[in-house]
Amino acid sequence: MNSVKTTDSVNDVAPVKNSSKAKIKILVAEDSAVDRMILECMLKKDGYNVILAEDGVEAVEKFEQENPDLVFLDVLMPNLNGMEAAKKIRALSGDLFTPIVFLTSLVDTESLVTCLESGGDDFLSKPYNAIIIEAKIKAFYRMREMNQTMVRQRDQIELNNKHLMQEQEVAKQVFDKITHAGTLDLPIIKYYMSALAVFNGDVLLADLSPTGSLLMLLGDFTGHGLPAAIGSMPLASIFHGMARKGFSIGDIIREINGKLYHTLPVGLFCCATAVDLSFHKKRALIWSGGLPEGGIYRAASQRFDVLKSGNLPLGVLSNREFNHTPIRYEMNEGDELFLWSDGIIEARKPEGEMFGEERLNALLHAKSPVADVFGNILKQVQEHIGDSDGDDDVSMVSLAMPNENVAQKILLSAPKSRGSLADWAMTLRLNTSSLKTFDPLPLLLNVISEVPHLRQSSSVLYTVLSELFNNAVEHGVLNLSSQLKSSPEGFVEYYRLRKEGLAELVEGWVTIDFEHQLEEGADGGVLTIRFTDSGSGFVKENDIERTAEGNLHPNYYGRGLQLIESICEKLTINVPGNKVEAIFRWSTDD
Amino acid sequence: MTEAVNLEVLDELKELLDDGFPMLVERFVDDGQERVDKIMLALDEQDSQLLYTEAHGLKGSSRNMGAGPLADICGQLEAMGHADDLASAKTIVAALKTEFSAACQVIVNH
Repeated sequence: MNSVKTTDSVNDVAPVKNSSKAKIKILVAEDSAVDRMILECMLKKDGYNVILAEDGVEAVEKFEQENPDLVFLDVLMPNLNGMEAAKKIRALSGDLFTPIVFLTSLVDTESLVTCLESGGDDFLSKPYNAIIIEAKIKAFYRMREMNQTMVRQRDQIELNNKHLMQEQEVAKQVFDKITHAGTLDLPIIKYYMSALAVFNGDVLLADLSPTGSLLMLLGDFTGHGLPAAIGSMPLASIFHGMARKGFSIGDIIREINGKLYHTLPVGLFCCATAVDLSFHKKRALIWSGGLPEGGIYRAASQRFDVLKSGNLPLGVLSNREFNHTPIRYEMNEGDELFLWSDGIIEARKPEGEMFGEERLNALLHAKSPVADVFGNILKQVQEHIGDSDGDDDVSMVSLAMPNENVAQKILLSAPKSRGSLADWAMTLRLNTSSLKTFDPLPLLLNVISEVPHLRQSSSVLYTVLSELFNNAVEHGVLNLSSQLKSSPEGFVEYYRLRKEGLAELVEGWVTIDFEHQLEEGADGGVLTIRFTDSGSGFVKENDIERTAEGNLHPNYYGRGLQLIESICEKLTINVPGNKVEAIFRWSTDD
Repeated sequence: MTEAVNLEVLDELKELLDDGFPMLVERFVDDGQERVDKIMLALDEQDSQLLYTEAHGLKGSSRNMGAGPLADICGQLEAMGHADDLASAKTIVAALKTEFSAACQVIVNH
């Protein structure tokens, strides 16, 4: 057959020095030695890296070995013709685009079409024209580079996507745990959260409080996807942490609001409704901000009472502007509270029609038995959504007021007050050097804010503590006369003397005693605050007045002590006045 | 009167291949002769496919060498082979032999 030797390869053609072209590798498969030599010379002269093959089989082999950027294939070759070789090369090339140009002296249209249909990208007629060849190589190389970029980017996207899916998988497990933690499995709670809901920032939390209440929060963060869900982390940890220590729902909401306000970027906030259901008080305290109005389905009348909503969502206002006071609703046995996120109203049919408030209201006013309402709504929403596997993030929860038996069982599982400060006492004694430099008020307030329900009184308690402390230091330890403060000049003099006195103080102390006790059955407690100082006292027997309440206090010591008297239940000052005792009583009775 | 070989094309090839040109000429003559022999064999054995392949091959290199008339004759034979109709092939093959010799003459002497 063909006896062409590879020695025919023309190696001594000086290539034009062009590094970018030298990188371009071209496979020339041609059985005719004359044509092969001519094309090889043309390509080498242009500076390309040329690989030669003499038939189709060799062409495929060389392609596998060398992975050229471009292939010139003679159509009619022995062993394996060009068209067959093209198919194999295509298959080997895979995702990567390798341009194949047929070399042919065939001129009939049919043959040329067959060339392209068998996987060629173009053809080159004999006699060869160097200029046309160069132009075609450039054009095809551009296409190949473009294709490579595309394939690279596609692979990168695939990889990123895979990473993202893995991350989301992990994140979902974490969020599932966070948002479903607590006591959602109680028999009085029914809830439904679609898989997408958790990931779109819906959060449902419930926990039993040592105060005997069930606390629950349904939240819906703005936005979609993971960023929306991130806020549920701090929200959940604050909720559970505080709920188990016995903090009130108002305190918890306030704490969450502050945290979200400071940590979330502008525009990201959380629509939420928070509930404190007290079994023995037969009431719910409900704070709602931003979620669609839920309501209470009355077991007896089968009426649906819509909740009042008047607050902005969590994380919008600073705590100073934020109103965390919940509204009180009676809850009788069997009454069921319903909450949902807007996902339920916006749930779409495959065609796009929303479930809407009308359908929801129709169900709520259908006068069905209370036990069926939750199931009815859920069933209708799911039927409405049908097969549209789309963007539904449906969250719905209901909370029923149990009968005595069930309530008892639930409360048995409630945490004891162990986790919080309840019955306690402490003494802090500040000696000379501490008196000179240390402000005990932040420390004292810190302790107080660890006590559920005292926290909400921390600002008035601050007033009490700061008055009593100043009283002990100034009139007690330093023995300053408050009469100095009756004129502006005296004020300045007073503070100068205070500063001097402290600086020169040789010996002095103030002891602060706290005693706190819960009051059985009264849902409250008593905090006794006692300040004792090393001073000789500033009260003479005949300065003391007894008020109608039996309080003892000197009648001329400025507004400070009177203010304390108005805050505290009882204020007692001993004679000679180095010991002051204030009793502060708090109650959660609502 | 058409030239057997376009000398301009030959000049360009000579410039392109430089030292390799004599080898190119040698290959053209040797391989061409081989193909001409095969074409005659194909005619004897009435093998249309062989005639088609060899005529096609020779046509390509003839075109590249600037041997237009030779390429045209090859084209005629290629078409006959393709159409599986060798009735008038004998005369054309004779013409092919003559034209091939003429072309070789010009190319070798160039």
